[in-house]
Amino acid sequence: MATILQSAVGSEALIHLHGLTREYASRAGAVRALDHISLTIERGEWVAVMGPSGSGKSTLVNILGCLDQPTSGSVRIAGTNVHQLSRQELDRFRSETIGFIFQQFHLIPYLTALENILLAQYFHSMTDEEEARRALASVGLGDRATHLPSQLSGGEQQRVCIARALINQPPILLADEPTGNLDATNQEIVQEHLRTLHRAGHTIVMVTHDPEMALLADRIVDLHHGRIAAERRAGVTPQK
Amino acid sequence: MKRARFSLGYIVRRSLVHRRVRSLAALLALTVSAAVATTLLTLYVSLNRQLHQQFRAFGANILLTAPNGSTLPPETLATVRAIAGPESRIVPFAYAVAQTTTGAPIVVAGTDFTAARTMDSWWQVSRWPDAAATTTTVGSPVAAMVGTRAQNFLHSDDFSLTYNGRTLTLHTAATLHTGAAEDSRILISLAAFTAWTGQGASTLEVQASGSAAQVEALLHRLRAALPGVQVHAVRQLVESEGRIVDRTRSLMLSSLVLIALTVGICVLATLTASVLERRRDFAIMKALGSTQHQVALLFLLEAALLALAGAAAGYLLGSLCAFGIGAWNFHATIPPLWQAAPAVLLLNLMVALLAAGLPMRILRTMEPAMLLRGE
Amino acid sequence: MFFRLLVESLVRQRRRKLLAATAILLGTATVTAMLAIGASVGDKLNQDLSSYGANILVTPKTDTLDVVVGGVSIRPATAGSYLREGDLTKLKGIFWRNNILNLSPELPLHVTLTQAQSSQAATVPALGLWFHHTLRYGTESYPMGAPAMHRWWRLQGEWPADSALDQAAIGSALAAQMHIAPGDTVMLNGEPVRITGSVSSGDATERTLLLPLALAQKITGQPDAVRRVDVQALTKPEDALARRNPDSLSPALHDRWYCSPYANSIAYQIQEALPNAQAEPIRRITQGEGTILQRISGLMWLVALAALLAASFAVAASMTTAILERKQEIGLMRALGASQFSVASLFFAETAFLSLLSGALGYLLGSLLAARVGREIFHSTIAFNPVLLPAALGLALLVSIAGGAPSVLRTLGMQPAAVLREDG
Repeated sequence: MATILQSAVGSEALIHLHGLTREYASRAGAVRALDHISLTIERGEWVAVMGPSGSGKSTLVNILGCLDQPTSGSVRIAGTNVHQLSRQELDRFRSETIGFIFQQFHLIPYLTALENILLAQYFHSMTDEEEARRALASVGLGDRATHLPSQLSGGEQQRVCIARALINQPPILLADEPTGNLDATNQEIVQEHLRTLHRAGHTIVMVTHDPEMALLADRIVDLHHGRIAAERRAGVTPQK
Repeated sequence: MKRARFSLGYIVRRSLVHRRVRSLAALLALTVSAAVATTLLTLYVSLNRQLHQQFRAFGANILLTAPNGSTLPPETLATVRAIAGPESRIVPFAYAVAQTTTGAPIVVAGTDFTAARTMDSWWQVSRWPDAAATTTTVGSPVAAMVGTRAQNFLHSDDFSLTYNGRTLTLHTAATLHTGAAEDSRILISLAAFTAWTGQGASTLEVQASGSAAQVEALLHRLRAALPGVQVHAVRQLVESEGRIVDRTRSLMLSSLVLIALTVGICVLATLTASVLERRRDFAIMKALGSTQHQVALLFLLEAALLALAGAAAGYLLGSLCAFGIGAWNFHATIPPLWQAAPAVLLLNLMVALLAAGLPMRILRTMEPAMLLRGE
Repeated sequence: MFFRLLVESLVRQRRRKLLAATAILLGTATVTAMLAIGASVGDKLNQDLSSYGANILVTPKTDTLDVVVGGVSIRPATAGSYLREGDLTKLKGIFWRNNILNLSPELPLHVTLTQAQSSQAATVPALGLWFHHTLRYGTESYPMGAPAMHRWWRLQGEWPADSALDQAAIGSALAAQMHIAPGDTVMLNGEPVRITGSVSSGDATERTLLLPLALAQKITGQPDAVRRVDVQALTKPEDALARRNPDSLSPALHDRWYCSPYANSIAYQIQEALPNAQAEPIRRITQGEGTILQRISGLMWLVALAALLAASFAVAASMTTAILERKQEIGLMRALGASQFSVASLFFAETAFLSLLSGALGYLLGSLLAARVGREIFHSTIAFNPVLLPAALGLALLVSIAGGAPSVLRTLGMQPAAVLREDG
């Protein structure tokens, strides 16, 4: 298969997962959220990860975002073996490489929309308020800069979240159910933003349970019980 | 550039203001802990002095007496005052056995009423003579303070006594009750006594404040400076005083430790919970690429700010409290103890940093993904 | 359902409960310990203060005047009237008999002391005393005597036996002056007497010969006679009532006065028990003791008050935090249709249960702490004070509810949706 071919070249692919396993200790024994996942994602590709609840979608995205460590297996992102990084290097790597879009938005409640974006700049390098304002304007929230998250609607919060994810121009964008908490109108807006980003050449890994949303992606990966059940081009019906 | 506006300090400020109730609860706890520490420290440091002051209620703890029946050299009082220091109290006494008109012997003492009044607070006197009344005008009867027992042996308020063939006319200006030997005596001013008997003071009662060791050192200096004068400590007083002061200090120290520990642990628990509660903030910042140090600094800075504010407010409050206790209980001024300020600040910082640091250690070992999920 | 919810809530989320419970426990323990110490410090210090010696002096009522200068009686000892030694037993029959710690009768006299070797003779003041006398009252017996009254006396050698008519102790200054050492035999008014010990006291006693009371009575020819009695009693510091004249008080106040262990009322009762006696508090000692007791008890009470305030605030802060942590829960219950009242009752019931439990444990811990402190500092334990239990529980309840109430009520006042949306 193509994935094996790609891994031989190594640095060609942006993301390369091999034998990825993640187990959680629980009272009932170890629960295996991911079971030997191997996956390669090309630069500029938009991949949708689908599957029922508990299939390991979020775990996969969290590991890709270095928010979680695999129990075994390797993660190579942009030619870097993630598990070889020290904590400090990992923090640095994350701020350089990854932008997050969360289902629950996860904005800092006591900072305004603008400041939430500034925060991401701050952790990355230095703050540039003009740039942050432009980012906010680009998601259509130019007039909401001084609002606190509690004063914004869900869609607006998600757009702040997108602006925040993009501010440091990370090569990889990770979106965990980006429209999961949104109504149809807002879903539309967010979809449009993602499409623009994809056209601009961003690599997007997106978890979703919405087939319509998944169709926007180049490729769909179906997870089932922590394993890849199917991989297909968008628009092709899954073969079980 | 506008980047100066957005800094760790700014984030901390926003966080503190946004979480008003929690911040206030934490500030309150830190203020209380600082106030208690300041109060107890200030009290404890001045306790020795305050307690020894209280023992002044027992009167003289050193007696200087002239050997057998002689009088002390007139400069003795000045010498003793120079050695014992201005804080000590000194009362001279002169004694003579006089005869009443019926021939009964009675002890007459000459003293300095003003000095006796300050030192012998237990004397129950019907009316203290004012300083002017103690100077005798020639010919008029001498104002006398008569012991309640001695009064039974006098036939009227105006009476006369004979000493060595010289008769003195006296007038009962006040009565004195102590429950001890003074009740059987007649007291007159030392000047009148000397004019009548030709004798000066034979005893100096000295009240020196301080520990047993300090009193002992004073005794040595007095003996060296005044050869030929018998210098004695009133052992009954000096020994008990030391023991009671020591015990009270131990008691205060135990209380101090107990209270500081309790308040410290409560504050620690409160702050720890308040920091732990923010594990999601921690995880979000990690997801945004903050380093471990940056988030740690953020949380520590916040705790340190609260600790600083709490220490300042608590120091003021505690000093005020100690002052109040001093005024109310000891009738004395307990000034603020500036040394308590750095101690309290350090204590508060330690508690706050520990409270912020402990959860940080816990959070560090957890994957941000778990924290985001709200575990 | 309410109770099920309560039980569930108490069992779950133990970490959060633990914080509040620890705070209440420690707070209650400190307050209990400080109050127990504050309440007993007076008694404990009173025992320390007893080392000041006599605080009540008993003398014959009709008397010629004492002529005493510098602690030495100048008037001949034969004059005047006496108290009866046999009457002293009656002092253990008065209302405050248990407060009478010690009695020390004295009989002053002058004797001729002759040193054995040099035959140097002098007339010296002497004092008849009890040394280790046993006072019997009913079936009980009490050890009484001068050495315990004057704890600052230092003895070299031994005290004479109370029944011995050929033993005496000597003041250290007199011993040095006459070249007499413990163990020597001297002639006392012509009779041989063995000196058992020498006493240093820092006062006039150092120039005195100390005889067993029986010997002094034999020499003066006054059997059963004593000139004065030093009484050491546990007393309560003087207050406004103590200073009143008992004869002018209303019957109710008089009873209160009579039944309070003031130095005045004990002296009054001694006077009732002993015919022809005049008993008076030695004001220097009683006033001084009163001052010290008041100041130190006052100090400890104030420190206890400070502890109470501090613990209250600390516990309230902990409760505020503990409740704030559960805001989401409140919002959720409201969203599920719970009334404000039922949510509030659940939270308050939970807080009450927690505070009573922790308060009871805190009371135990505090009492143990107080007992420990008492043992360390006063070498006598501070007993459990049951009065403090309801006080400790009440305080724990009050403070934790007061600490939790603002956050609960504020959250209840908000729209459930707003609570749920609010992050952290």
